[in-house]
Amino acid sequence: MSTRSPKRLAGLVGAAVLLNLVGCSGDATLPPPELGETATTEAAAAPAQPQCSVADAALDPTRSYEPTEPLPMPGDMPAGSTMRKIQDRGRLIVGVSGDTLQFGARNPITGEIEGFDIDILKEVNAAIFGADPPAIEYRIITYADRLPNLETEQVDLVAHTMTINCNRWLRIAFSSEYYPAGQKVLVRRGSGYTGIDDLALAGARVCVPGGSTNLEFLQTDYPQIEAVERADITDCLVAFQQGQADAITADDTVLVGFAAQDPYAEVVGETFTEEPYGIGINLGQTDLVRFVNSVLDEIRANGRWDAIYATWVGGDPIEPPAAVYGRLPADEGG
Amino acid sequence: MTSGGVGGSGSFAGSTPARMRLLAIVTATIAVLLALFGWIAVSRRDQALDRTGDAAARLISVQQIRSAVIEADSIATTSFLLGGLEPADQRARYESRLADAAGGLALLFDGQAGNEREQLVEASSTLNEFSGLVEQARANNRQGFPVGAAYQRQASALVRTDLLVSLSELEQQARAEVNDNIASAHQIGWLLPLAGLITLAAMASGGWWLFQRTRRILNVPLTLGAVICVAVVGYGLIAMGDSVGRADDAVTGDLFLADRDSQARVGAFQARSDEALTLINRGNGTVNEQGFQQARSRVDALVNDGIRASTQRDLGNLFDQYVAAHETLRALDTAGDWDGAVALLIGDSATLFDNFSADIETSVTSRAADAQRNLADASSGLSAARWAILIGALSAAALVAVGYGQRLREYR
Repeated sequence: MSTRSPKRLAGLVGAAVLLNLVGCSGDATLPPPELGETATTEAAAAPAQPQCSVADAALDPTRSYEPTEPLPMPGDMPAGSTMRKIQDRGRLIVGVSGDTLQFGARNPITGEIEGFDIDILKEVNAAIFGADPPAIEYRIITYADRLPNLETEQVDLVAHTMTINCNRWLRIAFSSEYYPAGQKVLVRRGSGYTGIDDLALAGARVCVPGGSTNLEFLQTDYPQIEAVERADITDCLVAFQQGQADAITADDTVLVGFAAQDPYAEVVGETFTEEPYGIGINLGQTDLVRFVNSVLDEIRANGRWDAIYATWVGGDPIEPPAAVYGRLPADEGG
Repeated sequence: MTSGGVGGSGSFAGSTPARMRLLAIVTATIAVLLALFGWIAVSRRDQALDRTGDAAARLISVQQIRSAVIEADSIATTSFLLGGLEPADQRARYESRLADAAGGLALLFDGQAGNEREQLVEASSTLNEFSGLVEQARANNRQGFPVGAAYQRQASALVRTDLLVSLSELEQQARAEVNDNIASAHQIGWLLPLAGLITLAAMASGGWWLFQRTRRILNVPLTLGAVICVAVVGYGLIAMGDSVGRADDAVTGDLFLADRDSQARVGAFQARSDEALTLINRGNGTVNEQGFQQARSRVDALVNDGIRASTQRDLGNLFDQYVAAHETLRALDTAGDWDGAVALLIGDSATLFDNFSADIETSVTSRAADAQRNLADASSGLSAARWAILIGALSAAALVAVGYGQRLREYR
């Protein structure tokens, strides 16, 4: 074979070989996405709920601190008091439900939050600031967030269809009872269930919000029932409408609102628990508890409570629940 | 190949003409094999590049679906704050994004098998479930039923914990496929030069043997055959090197940037949804604000990265303006002016966000188109190279036969 193969061509081939071989080592690649894809910030696990002693549990949990007598003049809260801090801040910050029709719900038409709980809070707001008070700052919180929000002082008051009970008194303080609710069940119209006992017999799936007294009640008194737990009570209505639960157990106050949103649902049976509602307040703010109790006493006496009841609950008027006092700051839990 | 036929007198195979004939056959066969392997090498690179292009197209499609889904969710979430007063253009945009997502999934479904197929089926049904929940949220909302909020929450949760997760898995698969295919396109580089070198070695050693036997310096057909081999192998190598180089450029250039922009776009919509959720979860949106900040930092890193050409610096500015509006919005909400915050969200903040979102959409679309076009163009020269190698190497085989034939005839 001749040695005269063209040198230029050989050079080109050499370059091309090099190009190919070099290509072998330096692969072009797409890097993976730079940072985590979705934010999965889980809420911290709730601390264990302290339990009342048997002796304490036997006492009436609705006992609250004596009301402030007389109420300070609106807009002139005593120096150093919790109310004064709120007044100086310029607004009352409250935790409420955003979706409990008739108690605390955002009206989608007006965008306003309204309901029984809200009207009670407005009375407290007026008592602090006087006529034409600044707008309340509403924080819509879930059931499970009610106690933590008070404990960390993110809100001044919580009016969120919250039952007063002994265990909760270990973590927060309550006003006197402002509404006498009771637990009932909501079932599909024509389902044949007439109450909680039927559901227990059938081993039905019953939805309850996590962190509620209703869940505790189901677990202890009706273990046969399969509890379907949801973050919030309204999520229970979704679960019910989607067929993931046969029934919902909750306070009658909440269930009436559900039945109003779903013509194929009905509230059945008698109330099988007493759920006295109180306004939640930070455990250390005894002065605010007393103040709120005075406001509640006032509206019980002057007919305002009846008017609020007529607006949001309607039907036959009832007597406002009587306030029970006698608790001393020392007997938390009692 | 032995250098001489000294020992093998007598037998047919041992005679010089017989060896010559054998050499001719072996060398010509090697040249034919060069034609075959050359064809295979170029074809395989061509196919690997085609697969890279397909994977890139799939990556872009999945990203478009993801953007469509997350934008639909973001619109639904924001509109929810407006209740029944949802603007018609927002509604239209929501529906078109939903249609984009559904259509994109249907197109992706074509030609998929196994695991990916299942994932797509699942994604489609989740998308249906999402749109159903959004409709239920709207219907309840329009009647003033607060359960609408719960449906909306569930719809958003479904998108975030389910649909977007499986779509980002599909996206990651497509990304891996691009990388695998471009890597395999690189790997076939040795076949052609090796075959070429063996052919040339066979021709050269045969030529040397002939030269020693016949003392004839130049065998024209054999030399011509060698020149043709060198030429077509060189041409083939240049074409293959060029194609893979162009594909590399398309992947590390336009596709890389399209990928980043697309991630930034998804992150921006996530931030926007979280922003609306901070207001829907009125005063209790700490988790959503964390989500916003997480998404914001991701988008920030992607749009203010220094990689971007100076003509596209605007994108970073636009995003910064939107983030500034978000800070104002949070300040309003924290100070208790929820209504003011909502007004800002659907007013100035929406305009700023739309400016950014329109810009990044343009950027993603043009870069994705460039990437796909460049990837398709990358292998355009390979077809000619494949034929050149085939024809060239076969001609070389023929020339080998002719060249040895001349010398054989001289023995008669």
